[in-house]
Amino acid sequence: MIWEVDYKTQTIAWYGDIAIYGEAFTFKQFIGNSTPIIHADDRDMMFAYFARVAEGEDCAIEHRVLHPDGTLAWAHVRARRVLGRSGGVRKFIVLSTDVTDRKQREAAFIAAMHRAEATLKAKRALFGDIAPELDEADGAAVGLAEMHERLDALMEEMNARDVVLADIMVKLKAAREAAEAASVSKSQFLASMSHELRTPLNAIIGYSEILQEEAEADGRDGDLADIQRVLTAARQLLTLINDILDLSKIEAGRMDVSAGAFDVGALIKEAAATVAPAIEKNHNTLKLDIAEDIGHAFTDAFRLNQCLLNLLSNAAKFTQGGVVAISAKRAAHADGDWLHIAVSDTGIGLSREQADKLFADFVQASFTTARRFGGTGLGLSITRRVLAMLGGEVTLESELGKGSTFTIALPAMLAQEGQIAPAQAPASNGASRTVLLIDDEESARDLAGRALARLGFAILQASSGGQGVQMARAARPDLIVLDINLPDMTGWEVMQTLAADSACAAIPVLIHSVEDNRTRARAAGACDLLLKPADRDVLAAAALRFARAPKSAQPAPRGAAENPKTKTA
Amino acid sequence: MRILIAEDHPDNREMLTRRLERRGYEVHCAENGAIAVEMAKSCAPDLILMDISMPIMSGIEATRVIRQTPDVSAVKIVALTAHAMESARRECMEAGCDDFATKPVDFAGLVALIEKYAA
Repeated sequence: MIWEVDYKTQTIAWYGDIAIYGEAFTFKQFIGNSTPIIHADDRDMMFAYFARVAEGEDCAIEHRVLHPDGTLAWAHVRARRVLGRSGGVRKFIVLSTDVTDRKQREAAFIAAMHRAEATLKAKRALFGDIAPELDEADGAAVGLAEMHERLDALMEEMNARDVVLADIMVKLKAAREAAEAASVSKSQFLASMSHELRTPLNAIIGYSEILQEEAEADGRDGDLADIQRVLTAARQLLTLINDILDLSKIEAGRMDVSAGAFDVGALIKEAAATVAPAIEKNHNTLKLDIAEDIGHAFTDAFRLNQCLLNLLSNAAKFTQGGVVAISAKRAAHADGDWLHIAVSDTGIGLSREQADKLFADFVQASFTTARRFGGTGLGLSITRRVLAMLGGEVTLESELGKGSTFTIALPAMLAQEGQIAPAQAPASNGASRTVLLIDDEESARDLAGRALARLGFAILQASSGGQGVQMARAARPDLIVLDINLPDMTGWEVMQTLAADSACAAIPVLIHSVEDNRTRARAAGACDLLLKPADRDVLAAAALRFARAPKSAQPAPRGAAENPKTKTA
Repeated sequence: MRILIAEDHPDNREMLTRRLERRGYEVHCAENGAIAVEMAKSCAPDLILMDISMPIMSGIEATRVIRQTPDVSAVKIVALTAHAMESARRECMEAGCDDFATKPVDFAGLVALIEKYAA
C-alpha cells in the first residue's frame, strides 16, 4: 500500500489495499502526531522517523498498528521525500507493508530462545555458584540479534563448564576406582583374618575336646570343669568371628539371600529345640504357640533361622527363672501374606532409651549388661539387616524389669527379581489379590502378568510345575493361571498335587494352554480353560471372575528399609 | 577305612590324626598339596580330608590334579578349610571336592560325613 502526504494540498492520498491501516487517517492527524491507528507507544518514533526522512535519509521503520477491535498488527514503513521548488519538503511517498506474520514468527522464535536461555541458566545454577536470574521472557521486546548474543554467551559458558566437568569426572572415576580397590582389599582382609583366627581356634577346640574325652574316661571331674570353660570360651569366640564376618558381608553387599520353600512351623520348632539347653540353663520355661495355618513360606530359611536363633538366645540369656515364649501366625496384607513371629521373655527388659539404640551396630543396652551377660551386641544388628534383605523388619516392645517382645515380620514370599508391580491406580478390583502364573514360557508369563497387574493383582511367577507348587504352598494365591505343557510335570499333575494339599485345594485354577481339552479341565477341577494365547481382556475378565474374594487385608507395614520401630510401655 | 589328611598346620594335623585314629580309622598325613597328590597314588586312601591353604600346592590345585590322575581320580575328597565364605565352598566344589566342612572342626559332624562316604 502506498500513501502520499502532500504538504501543499494538506491531504493524504491512498493507493492500493489499505487493510493494514484499516481506515485512512487525515493530514491533520499525521501532522499532529495523533494518528489513531498507529500504536500510541510508537507515535513518537514515527514522528522522529519522518523528521529523518525529511532530512533526506533513506531508512525504514517497523511500527505497531492498533485496530479499533484491539488486534495488533505490524507494519514495515519506508518513506521518501519529494522536494518542492523552494527546496522545502513537498511530499512524502510512503510504502507500508503488513509484516504481522513475520513478526509473530519472530516473537515465537524469541520466546523459544528465552526458554532455551532459561534452561541453560537453570543448568548453570546446578553448579551452585550463580543463582538463576529470573528474566521475564518478554517476547518481542528483545531483538533477535541480542537473543543470539545472549545464547552464544551462555553456550560458551556451558562449554567451559563441560571442560571443568570432564575434569571432575576423571577425578571422580579415579576416586571410585580407589574406593573399590579399598573395598576389595577390606573384603580380602576380612576373609584372611577370619581364616587366620579359625586356624588356631581349630587346634584349641580340637585339643580341648581330646582332653575332655580323656578327663571323662579317667573320671577327673575337676579338670573336666576347667576344660569345659576353655571350650565354652572358644565357642563364644567362634560365634563372634562368624557374626563379624556376617556383618561385614552385609556391609559389603555380599550377603546373598536364596529363597526356597519350607515348612514355617517345622523351622520354628527346630530353632526352639536348638536353644532349649540355653533356656533350661537359666531355669526358664519355653512356650510355643504356632498358628495351625502358618503353612509354608518361600524365602531364605537359613537366614530366618539365624534371626530366630539370635532373638531366642537373647531371650534365654536375659531371663532367669521366667518364661520364653514364641508365638507365630500368618496374616494377609495388601501385598500378600506375611509371617509374624514374636519372641517374648519375662527378663530384665529395656528402658525407652536403651530400646532406641538397641539395633545399632555394636551397641548393647549398657556396659554393665555386657559385663553381666556377655555377648557382642552384633546379633540384633544382624537380625535387623538380614530381615531388611528379606523385605521384613523386627520391632520391639519392652518394659524395664518386666521383659521384652521382639517381633519378626516378613513376607511369606520373598520379592522376586523383575517382579511385575501391581497398578497403583484405584478402582482396580484386583487389588489385595494375588495371582500365581505357572508357565515355562517367560514371554507368556510377562504378557499375562502385565494384563493382570493392570487390574491391581499382585503377580507371582513360577517357571516350572515344581516351583509353582512350592510357591502356591508358600503364598496361597487367590488364583493360579496354569499352563499344561511344563518341563518337569504336566499342568494336570500340578492340579493333582495342589488338590491333595489342604492349604492349596481351595485355590481356583484357570488353565491357559494350547491344549483344548475342556472336559479334562472341568474333571480336574479347573474353573475354566482359556485357549493360549488368550486375549488380554478375556484373561482379565476371567481372572476377576474366578479369583477368590479379597481377604480382609491389613495395611502393609512400613517399608523395611526404615529403622525398626521401638516402643516402650 | 583309610583316610589321608592333607594339612600344613602341624598342631591341627596331629590333633585330627589322634582323634580319627582313636575312632579306629587308618590315618596318613601330607603336609602340602603336592605330597597329597603323591600319597593319593602311593597309599590309595578311601577319603582325603583336604585343607585348602597349603604351601607349594594348594588343596584346590591338588584336588584338580587328583581328579585328572588315572586310578585315583575317583577318591572321595572332603575340603576342610578355615575359609568360611560361601565363595570358598563354591571354589572347592568346582575344583572337584565331594563335600565341604569348615574349621574349627565340628568333630561329630565330620565323623558323620566320613561315615557317609565309608558306606
